[in-house]
Amino acid sequence: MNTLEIYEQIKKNTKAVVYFQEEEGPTPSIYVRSDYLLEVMNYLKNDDQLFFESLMSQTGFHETENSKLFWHLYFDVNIEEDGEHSHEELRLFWHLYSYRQGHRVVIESSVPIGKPEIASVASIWKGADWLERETYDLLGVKFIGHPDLRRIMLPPDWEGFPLRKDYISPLSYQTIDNTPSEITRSFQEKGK
Amino acid sequence: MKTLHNSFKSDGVVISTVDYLVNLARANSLWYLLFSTACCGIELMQTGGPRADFERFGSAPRAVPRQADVMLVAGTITLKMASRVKTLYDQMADPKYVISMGSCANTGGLFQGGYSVLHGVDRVIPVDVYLPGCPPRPEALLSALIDLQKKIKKEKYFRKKIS
Repeated sequence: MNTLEIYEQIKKNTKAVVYFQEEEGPTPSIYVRSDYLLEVMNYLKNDDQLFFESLMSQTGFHETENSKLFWHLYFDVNIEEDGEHSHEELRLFWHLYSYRQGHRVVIESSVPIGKPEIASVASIWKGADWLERETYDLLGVKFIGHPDLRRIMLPPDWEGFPLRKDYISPLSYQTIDNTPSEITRSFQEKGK
Repeated sequence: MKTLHNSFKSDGVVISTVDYLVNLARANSLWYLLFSTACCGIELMQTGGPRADFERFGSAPRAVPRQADVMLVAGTITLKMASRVKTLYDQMADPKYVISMGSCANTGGLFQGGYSVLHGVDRVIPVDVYLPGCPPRPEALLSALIDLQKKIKKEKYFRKKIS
């Protein structure tokens, strides 16, 4: 089944708010509003025809451009008035694959940066445990219902979330002086 | 010593200094600690292999820092790893030396733009020989070892250090 058929199935059998995204890239994705995530994931895993028994990966990125935000459209929020949730979002992706049926799907969702919380799918797929810990470690997304949400790659006393666009590399860590040399500073500033 | 070869008609007497002999012994038996975090470690293993042989310089690999004389820091050191490198260095017995191998250990190397990379291992431990390269060839690593041997042969081991 391709993504369009899976999208039709989800729309038919769950009450979730979903939208079919025709991406410019190779795979179209299904956007799910963040409060319906657990329902959609449960349906995708347990339905006989779809049967997505494995979560391949879980990633995300930080979207800062105002014109490309999604969360406020689906939650029907006026972005200028909602100051504290402000004009940035963290877009998240789940890549699911089914060994029995041989099809794959990309589920997308997004959370505003002022309140980056979303349901955890660790109760559905055991592998989501470490994938969600990595997303928490690097982007700062809180997964509600996760059994043990803490940093997995960076040391536990690290401050900040490195993959956000407004992150500045620290100049020192635990009494080690890590100020970059002049050449290094020119590399780091070129990216900004 | 080479000029003495085959030069006596009968048994003779050779005079030298204790400094010279002790330094000779120390420089020609530098046991190194097998320490590697990244790609330079593969070059380190190849230097221990048959083509560019480390052992012909008297340098045997040791797995434990307490038995090692020289620590070859090979690979990128992250901020999380830096405290462990310091622990390993502290566990080595005096006199100890450090060779910083590859550009990642010298200055952070290829990954200098990263947020968690230590810009050079000399921010946590004192380094004796810096070896550039990405990765340095096994012959380059042998030349770094020879440089370290030259440095050791110049040391005055028995003189009291002014501290």
